[in-house]
Amino acid sequence: MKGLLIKDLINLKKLGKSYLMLFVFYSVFAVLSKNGSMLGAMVLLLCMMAPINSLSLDELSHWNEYALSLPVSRKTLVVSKYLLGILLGLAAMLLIGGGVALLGALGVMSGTGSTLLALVAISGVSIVYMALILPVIFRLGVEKGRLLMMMILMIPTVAIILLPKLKAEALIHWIAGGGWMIVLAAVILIFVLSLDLSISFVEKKEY
Amino acid sequence: MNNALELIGLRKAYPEFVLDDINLTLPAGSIMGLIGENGAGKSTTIKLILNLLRRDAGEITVLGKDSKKEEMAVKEQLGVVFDQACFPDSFRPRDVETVLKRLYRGWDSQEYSQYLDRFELPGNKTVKEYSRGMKTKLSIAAALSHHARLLILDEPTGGLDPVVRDELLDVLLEYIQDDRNSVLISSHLITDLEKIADYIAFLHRGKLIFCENKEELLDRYGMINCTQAQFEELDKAAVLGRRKNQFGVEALVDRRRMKQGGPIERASIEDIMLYIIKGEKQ
Repeated sequence: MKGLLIKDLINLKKLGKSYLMLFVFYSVFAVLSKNGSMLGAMVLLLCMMAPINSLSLDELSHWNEYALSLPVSRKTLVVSKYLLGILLGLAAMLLIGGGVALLGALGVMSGTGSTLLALVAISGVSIVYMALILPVIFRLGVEKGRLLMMMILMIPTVAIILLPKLKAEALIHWIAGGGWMIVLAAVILIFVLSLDLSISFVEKKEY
Repeated sequence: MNNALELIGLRKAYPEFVLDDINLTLPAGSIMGLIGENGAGKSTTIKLILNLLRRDAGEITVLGKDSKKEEMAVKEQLGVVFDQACFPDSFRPRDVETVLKRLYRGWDSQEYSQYLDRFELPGNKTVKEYSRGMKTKLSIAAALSHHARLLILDEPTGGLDPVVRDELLDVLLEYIQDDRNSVLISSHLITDLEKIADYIAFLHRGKLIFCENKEELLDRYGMINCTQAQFEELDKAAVLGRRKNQFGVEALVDRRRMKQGGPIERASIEDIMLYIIKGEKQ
């Protein structure tokens, strides 16, 4: 498992430069606008997309066939991708959360509390994204899965447009008033179901 | 354990292709060459051994262990080389080691660096910058650096120049010096296999035509050159395949069934393969 994660990190290193530029850009934007939620959203999404990027690199180099000829089970292959997303997401979350809290304490940024809350919400959304997309990719491959992936990415946008403002406010109240526990449980459930589904897809797959 | 690999009644069916009833035994300490035309089922067989494909029937025993029930233990002792290097483009040789030493319990850093030196693989270049030959050498170095007992190579010499191919064949011959080690290698470069293989398994259209000791094979089959009239007199049971040319007929024959005298030349493995396929068409 550790070997697979390290392989993905080495592999993603070359994307690191463009990620770093985005990070710097949004950091400057965050400080100037005194709002870190945009930065948080960007970075977290990129981290959650890391497993998909690494899967597409794997397909290019036929890594999966090779990995499965090593003492690596199909299950481990799948779990490592979910773990990669979670670990990178967690690292980004700590980094940005820490940065935002620090800037808030220094008085450079205001509304630290709501920004941190937004970060948590964005993490939840990112995890759900990842959970929805990964089984599709494991089943269809990155190339064929791309269209479905785009559709899934559109869901929240469509939801925001369709959801009347009034109901959105009611929803926020509901979440603040204990609804968050249900949301959290739902996120965990979706994640576990997704992992299960991906494993069963890969167990059946022929390489 | 006397056999490195045993396939019993192996079957895999696709709508347009069936690999059927493959029975094959590779004794430990030897090299088996898997030959056959493109699409004959060589890669399918190898992928079935590695459980990359799901078999429809049959049993596979690798190094005395069931390949499904003890899959991880089996794979710990396997070294695998595919027709293309499967390492990510951005990897350098040390990255390969960083990853593989965490996946193989028996990883041997010293062995690996010896192979890198021997193959003169530049450590500062990435896989993307490597030539085809270098990529194959890197794959072989990786496959040989965890004390594998069975090496499985799928078309490793395709696209390589004769010098590199020869170098790789030498490595395989060295590897087999330890009689606990064995090699299964598929290739359509039959001359390569003829140089090193102890056993030849010949697949044709999803069927195993034969799996035999190379020397016995070469003893049994022979080539004759004769006129059309002489050919007509031959016992056709002895003829496996023939080709007409401007002087008469060239034919692959089974020496044991030849009743007539006359010169029989040595057939190469390539002759045997080509004439058997030809014979089937005639």
